[in-house]
Amino acid sequence: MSDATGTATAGGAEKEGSAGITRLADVDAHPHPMRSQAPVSIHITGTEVRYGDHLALARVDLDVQIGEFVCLLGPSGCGKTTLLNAIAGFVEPSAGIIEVNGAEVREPGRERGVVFQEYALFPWLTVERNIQYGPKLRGVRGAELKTISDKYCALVGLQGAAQRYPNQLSGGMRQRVAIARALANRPQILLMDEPFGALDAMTRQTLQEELLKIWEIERLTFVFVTHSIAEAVFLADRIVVMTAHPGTVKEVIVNRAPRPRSRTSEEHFEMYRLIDTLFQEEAARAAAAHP
Amino acid sequence: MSAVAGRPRRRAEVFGVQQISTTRRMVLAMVSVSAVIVLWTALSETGLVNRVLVPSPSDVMHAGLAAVRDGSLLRNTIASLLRVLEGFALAMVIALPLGVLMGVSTAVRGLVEPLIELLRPIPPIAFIPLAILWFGIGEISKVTIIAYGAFFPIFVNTMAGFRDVDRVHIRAAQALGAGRYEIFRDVVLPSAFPQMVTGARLGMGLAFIVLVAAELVAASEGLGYLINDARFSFRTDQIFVGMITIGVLGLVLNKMLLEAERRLLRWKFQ
Repeated sequence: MSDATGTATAGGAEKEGSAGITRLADVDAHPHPMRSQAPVSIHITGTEVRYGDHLALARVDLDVQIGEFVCLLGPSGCGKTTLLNAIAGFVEPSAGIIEVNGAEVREPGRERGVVFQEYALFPWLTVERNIQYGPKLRGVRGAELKTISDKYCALVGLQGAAQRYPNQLSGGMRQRVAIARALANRPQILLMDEPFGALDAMTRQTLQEELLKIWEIERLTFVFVTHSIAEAVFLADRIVVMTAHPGTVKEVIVNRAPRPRSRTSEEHFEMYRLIDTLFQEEAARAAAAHP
Repeated sequence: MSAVAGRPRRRAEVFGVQQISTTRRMVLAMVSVSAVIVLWTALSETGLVNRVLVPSPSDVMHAGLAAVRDGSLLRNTIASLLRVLEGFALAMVIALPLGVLMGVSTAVRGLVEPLIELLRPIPPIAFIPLAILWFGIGEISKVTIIAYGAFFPIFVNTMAGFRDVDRVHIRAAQALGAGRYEIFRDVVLPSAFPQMVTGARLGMGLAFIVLVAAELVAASEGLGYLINDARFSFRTDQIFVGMITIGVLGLVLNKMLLEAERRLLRWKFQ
């Protein structure tokens, strides 16, 4: 099994988990054969983003494989959302290149679905019409449209809510709609910007588990931004650890814990500690640099 | 007064936050309106106030019935309503496109905004003398003044609606494959629509206020004319009839527009 020994480097640093975690990869209960020698989905080289004089994201090099689940993890101001927005095509890098399936990203495109923290559902459309919006733009009409929205409503557990408006739904339900809307457009990559950040802890866990199921079914490349170490450890194949001032990739950590994962296993806590230590080190360094 | 006897009111329900039932609201409305009528009757019947200056409710009712019977009330009401609608329509035709342009283009906003801000503090009534000189005392001057009054709420709200489109909605549409035209049609327009509707409702209210002012100065029919004409013959009862008609008409109009707003924006109120 060499599926998780990533092709990626970020500033040249890629770290395996501790010995225990590496060992666990050998008994991976749910291997992803597609992912083992998968070609590159997102190729990021020397990407840097400036807003005026402010360096929001310092030079990043990162490759994401097709079908991989990558988390961008870090505190606010570390540039994780900026990096996601650059991949999405919402912001233009001031240096470097981002390629998706070999083509340079210049603008948003339907092969890159996006789920936003603030849901971003169209409040004037029903759940069903929100989900149908992407396919409709592609020219899908009539019964086929209905088939698509029914399928994705079912996938995210929204049966019965199809005719409701977003403001009639809870936060968790809205985010399900947002995920369904992005998936219904058949993207190759799903970019998620702290999608569960505004949800309560219980809903958050449920949605994390369902997101993993969807990922197993749809077999897409997932890039998921979060500031929660536990979330990243539970979800990701690889965790891109980022630090602030300026936004930089500090480490890329391979997470080989077998799936389905447990939130209370030793491996989980070990990985958590490893990443937490990285942030502690960084905080100590920052404190020393600016006393 | 506790809503339910014996149960202490919860803190979160004090002030405007507490819910009020429809029946309770109706009862309260009837109490206040009938209290005013009783007080009013008592004041004029006992001779505490001059009955020529303050006619009794029954005087007003008789004058009202007479005005209904000879058709003058209906005629004047229709004349006023037509003016309001004409002025309002004129305001919409100018304010909507201008509001859209200023909302979406920073260049147009930069050019036009100073002019608008300069005009805005000038009340419509201040334009009446000029309008009479320019357009005479005919319909055009009144409709123009009404349109001027209704223009600002429609315009300002339309502009704000188009300017304040949520960026995340635009990005969501872009990521789903929408181009510039689709974004305008599917995101910008529906985002701005609620504020356009609110602007239209406020504009209609202002048109109504300006109407009466315009008719007071120069008109040969209309509710403002009715009030002013009654002054010359010292018919305060007719003045009251005219004023109450304006009040009721304004109330009904506002309720209708609120209802239209609710229906047009179903997604917002559900």
